[in-house]
Amino acid sequence: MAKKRDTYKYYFKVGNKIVYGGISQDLERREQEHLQKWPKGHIVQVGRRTTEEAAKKWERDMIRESSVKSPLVSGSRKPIEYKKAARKEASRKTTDWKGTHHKKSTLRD
Amino acid sequence: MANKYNDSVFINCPFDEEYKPMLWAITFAIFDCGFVPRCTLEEDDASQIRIEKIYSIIESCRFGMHDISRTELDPKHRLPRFNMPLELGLFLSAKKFGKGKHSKKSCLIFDKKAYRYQRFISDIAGQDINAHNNSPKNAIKVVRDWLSGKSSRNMPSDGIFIWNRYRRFQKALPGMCRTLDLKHENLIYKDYINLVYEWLKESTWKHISS
Repeated sequence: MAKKRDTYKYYFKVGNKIVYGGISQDLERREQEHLQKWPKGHIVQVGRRTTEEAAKKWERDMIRESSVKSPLVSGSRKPIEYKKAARKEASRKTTDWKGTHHKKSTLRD
Repeated sequence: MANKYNDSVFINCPFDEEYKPMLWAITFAIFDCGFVPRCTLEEDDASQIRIEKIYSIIESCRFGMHDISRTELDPKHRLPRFNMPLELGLFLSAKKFGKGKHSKKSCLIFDKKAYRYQRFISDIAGQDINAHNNSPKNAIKVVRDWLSGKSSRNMPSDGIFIWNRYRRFQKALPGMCRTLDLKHENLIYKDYINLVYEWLKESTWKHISS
């Protein structure tokens, strides 16, 4: 029998900054819980609902600490310019799970 | 310094336009797995002899990824390109005759089809030889699995995860190029790796418990 796709993957953001990421079967309730800690935040659904197993796998992958190592050579621009370009692209607007417009994270599926 | 050696992956592959999607995807996967890609495209010191550049990079890399898929006859000159097999030979020699850390070198060999190598370079049988079928998606999966098997690091659980991130990166790349006033189609390797690095840093976050 096919497993139920009943689990949401989400980020909780304050402005454009992701402060938390996780999985839940009830986004509404989870948003209320997070709002107690970050009253100005909002929840953003990531991708579609999926099975609990797949969602847990996603969570494991995403919570690993950043292990990206810097390249050993510089490019034709200053390092800060690459950072700004990446950050700018990560802050494009989009619509969240409730239809509200927010700034977009490149993390969204 | 020792860490840089253990983090570094030498990419020995064709540098033509046709191969670019593969090179871009492999480079992204190496970064996303927590390693640093190295290849001769990063050096622009014209005073350094090319083979010296290759020696220098091989010396500084524990891992080597070699694509021998282009060992085929050039339609114009009817001669094969031997650069990739030559650099593979240099890497294997460094492992065989090098002392200390060099004896722990590890390499992955790519070809476009499984077992094709047996017809032109059968002596490499017994190495890690994988077919990518000219598919960036396959290449990402193979690179991830190989690096995962050769190190005990925490890395993405599978190649699909990296592939999905790579597709998001591809969508973001033209915008980043515009911001930097760079032409996406003519992006050079050094700019590309710096963009991958910054984008991945923006896209990886630490878990904060509530």
